[in-house]
Amino acid sequence: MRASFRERLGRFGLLGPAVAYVASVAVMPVVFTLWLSLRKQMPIFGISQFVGLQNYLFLMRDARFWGAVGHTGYFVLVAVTLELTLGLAIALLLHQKFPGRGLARALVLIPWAVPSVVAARFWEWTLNADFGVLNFLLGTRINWLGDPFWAMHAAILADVWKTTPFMVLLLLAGLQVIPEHLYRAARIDGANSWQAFRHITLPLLKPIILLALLFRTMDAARVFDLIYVLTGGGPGNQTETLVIYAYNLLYRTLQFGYGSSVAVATFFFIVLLSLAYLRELRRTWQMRE
Amino acid sequence: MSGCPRRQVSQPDQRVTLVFKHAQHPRYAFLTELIQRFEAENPGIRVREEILPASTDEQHQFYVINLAARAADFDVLDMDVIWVPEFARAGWLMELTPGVTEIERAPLFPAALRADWLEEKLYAVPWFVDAGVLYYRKDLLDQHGFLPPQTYPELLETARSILAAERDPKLTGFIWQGKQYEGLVCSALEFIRGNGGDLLREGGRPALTEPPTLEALQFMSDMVRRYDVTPPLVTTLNEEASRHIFQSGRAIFMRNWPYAWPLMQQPGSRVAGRIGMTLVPHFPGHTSRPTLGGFHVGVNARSTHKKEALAFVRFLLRYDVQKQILLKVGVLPAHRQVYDDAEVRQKLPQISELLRSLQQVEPRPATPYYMMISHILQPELSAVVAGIRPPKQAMRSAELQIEHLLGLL
Repeated sequence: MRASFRERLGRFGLLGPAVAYVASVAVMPVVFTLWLSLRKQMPIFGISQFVGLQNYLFLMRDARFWGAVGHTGYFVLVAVTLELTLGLAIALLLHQKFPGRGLARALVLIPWAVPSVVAARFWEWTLNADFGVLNFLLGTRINWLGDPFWAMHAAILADVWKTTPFMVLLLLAGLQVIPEHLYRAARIDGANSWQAFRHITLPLLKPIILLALLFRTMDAARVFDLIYVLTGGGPGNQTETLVIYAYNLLYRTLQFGYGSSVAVATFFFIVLLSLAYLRELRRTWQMRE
Repeated sequence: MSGCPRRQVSQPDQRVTLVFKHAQHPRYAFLTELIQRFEAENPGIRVREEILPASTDEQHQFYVINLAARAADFDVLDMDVIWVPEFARAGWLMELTPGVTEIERAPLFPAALRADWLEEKLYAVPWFVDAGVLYYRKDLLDQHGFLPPQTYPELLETARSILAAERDPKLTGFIWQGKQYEGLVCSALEFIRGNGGDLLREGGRPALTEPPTLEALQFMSDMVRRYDVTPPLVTTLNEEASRHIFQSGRAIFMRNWPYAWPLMQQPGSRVAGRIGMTLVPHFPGHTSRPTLGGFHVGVNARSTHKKEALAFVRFLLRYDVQKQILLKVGVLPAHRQVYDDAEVRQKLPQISELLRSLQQVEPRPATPYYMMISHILQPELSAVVAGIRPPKQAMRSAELQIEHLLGLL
């Protein structure tokens, strides 16, 4: 009895540092932000007071906030859809046996390995309306980053380039664990490649697809550096996303209270999206069992 | 007696170390020379330079995070002019009113110093200044028989005639900073104030929907969509992107800061020896109102070496130091008399033109809420330039947001 108590104490003692670490770097900032979001906190004016839900009430009718929600949603939807489609196609291709496959697999990963800010700078030059390579190749004179319509799509293009390799990587791993004999059996039954893809590859890949979508959606919903470098949210706020808006409020204009409410809203926006995926993911797993 | 040497060895360690946070200004490496001079004159003080990130947004962010957290590990701050009222209002800067004397303040450009006062107290001093200027292609203007324009209608006429005569599809008329960022506010202010308008009225209420402001903004928008003198890609231009276009010979006029002059005149530049610089234009019946830029120094209110920090700030204002700031570091000194210096006039012939701009310069509204006002204005101005909203609608929206911010509604 005594020994087991000491043993248990020892176990918790060993867990202690890890728990303290996670609490201090993950839990505390979230709690602190939540607390800040209930306050009016503007150091310049010497204002620091509890205002309850007032920030959230203002949020409900803040047109700039809803604009940012719309831009973020559109960005996530289009970028992630394109990344999945392209990623799946490339993964299927790289799953085939062909000479130089190892090299091709390594090359595909390069964009993902480039740091976001570097990639953003690279795209800033490529998309430059004046001397950019893209206009030169297409023979167009499109104002990619400065036109209200094109700016968001240019950012999506850059994001797709940057993160499709991540999709490829996950999906390729998923493809590799599908047993080869299933395909052989299907062929004996007279299935063509489309039917094999539709009835073997897709269902068995579904959990990985959902997982990849979950990762990418969470990531895309908090897009910041790429767009910040490319357009700064412009023109006319057409590319301002939730995190850019929160950044502007928090660090450029020092509205710590209201900025935190936007950050918290972003947090819940991402949690909601993730929950939808997780439910679907759990269903898939349960069906398998 | 023989037991004493130990004490003497430890003497140098008693020197006070000041930390000077500063941005990466052009040729900022030469600051080190000035700092060495300060250390030689003040044997008890050592100055350690700590360089801030390249973008002003990140510099501002660094200060905000650290000063709000009451950091005392840096003593002297290098600040963009627009942050000074904000930091002063937040109580982050030491008062300099008795420390920097009247005699030291008197020769500084009054427009620059205006941002440093809050409620009759001085919180910072300018150590270099900046003013928007109009660059023009002297060769093209001469060739087609035009003088440098003074007003916007003159500029428009000059640009359209030259564009029509040159028939060069790559040549554009007039470029300025039109990306959604602080530079757009600086550019737009020159149009607005050059028409007698402004952002804020006396007393701090917004004046954005008044006719002079709306007319000026309409003209900005028309230059892109109606007169075809400014290319649509102006909505992506910051200072460097503008300079790139002008320097490769593809624009007749450019609004930019003085830093671009030596870069465009150096050997290898396509426009070297073919450019001129003058006051930014204005509308008929008004005067040129270049936007003031530049950096100021102040002392961290939590510094533990305030006396020494003050000595360093005062050192930066001295005539001989200010002259070196111009000749070596290559930024425009805040000290007015340096511009009359015989050596300076001889080495930098363009200085008289810059002085003309600096004498008409106008700071952005010196209010603690400037950063918030700018944050509201940037997207609305950008919407005007990009043709998303007409000026009246955009400025009405900005005005409502600013009034809400200031608690005026």
